[in-house]
Amino acid sequence: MSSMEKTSPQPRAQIDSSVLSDVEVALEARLGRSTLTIGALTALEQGSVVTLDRSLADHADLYLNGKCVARGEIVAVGDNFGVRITDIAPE
Amino acid sequence: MSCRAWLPDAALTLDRISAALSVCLQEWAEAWIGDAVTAAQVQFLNASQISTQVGRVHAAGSATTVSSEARTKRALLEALLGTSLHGHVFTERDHRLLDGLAGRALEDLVARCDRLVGAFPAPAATARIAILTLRCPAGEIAKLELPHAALAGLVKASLGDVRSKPMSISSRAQALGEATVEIEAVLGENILRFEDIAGLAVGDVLLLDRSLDEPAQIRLAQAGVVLGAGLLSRDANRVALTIN
Repeated sequence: MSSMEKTSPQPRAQIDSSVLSDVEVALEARLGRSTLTIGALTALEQGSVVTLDRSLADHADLYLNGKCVARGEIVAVGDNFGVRITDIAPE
Repeated sequence: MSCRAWLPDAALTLDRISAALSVCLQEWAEAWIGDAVTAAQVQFLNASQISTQVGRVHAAGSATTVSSEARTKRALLEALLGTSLHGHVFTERDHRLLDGLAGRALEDLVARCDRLVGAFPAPAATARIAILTLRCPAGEIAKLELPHAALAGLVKASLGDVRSKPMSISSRAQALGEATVEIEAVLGENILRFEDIAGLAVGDVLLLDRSLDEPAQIRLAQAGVVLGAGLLSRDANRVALTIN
């Protein structure tokens, strides 16, 4: 085969995404953050109030694998908390 | 691993080395001579560069060596005897006696210097030697050899009382207490299949694994370490957690 001769690319094996459909991952609802000094952190005790960086009107963030993928308002679903999605990143 | 004091060579000046040895030299001078003895010059040589001369007297200790060559021995003896030797004629026996006297005086000087320098041990393989030229009013009397590696400790020790006032040292607990960390509050989670996540859309409600009367989890944002839990509350218009 001459060096100028082109070789046809090997067809790539593709994984059928449907095989992943049953894989489970955790979607986590985070309320917000707060910055504390170590002194303040170690002084926390029962009844202490930690104020977060969110207003009451702000929504919770939904994290997937450490990345915020959606946002929503906190709701009650029966006896449990829930998050109604108001904003979600494209798939 | 052993370590020893260190100073840059530029800091090992004649004045500083002299000051470090001053008490030792002064005490020796008072004991043997009655006049002041000072270090007049310092020279740094490798051990291999040091030559010995015939007619010298010398005394070697564990760390230091002192010698007086024929040229300087006369001034040393005049200082020791407190009289000029000019015009005297000495027999061989006189020479031996005078050499003995000079040798004893130098042995005492070496012993004193060893006690001082021995507090700053130098590696056995030290090759550099500091040579101090010792003088008294009668002239140059001897050369004192010190291991260069011991000089930094010697000089540093003598500088102790002229150190600048250091800043106060804070406790580690106090310093750490002022460091900040970021914590995050996690209301809950739900385990979903890939397929369900792909299908999520605005308006969907994600049910969390936390009941309404359960506290939210508080954890270190960076490390993810769970610190505790707190019930959802408010602080003015802000979301807050009350630790329980």
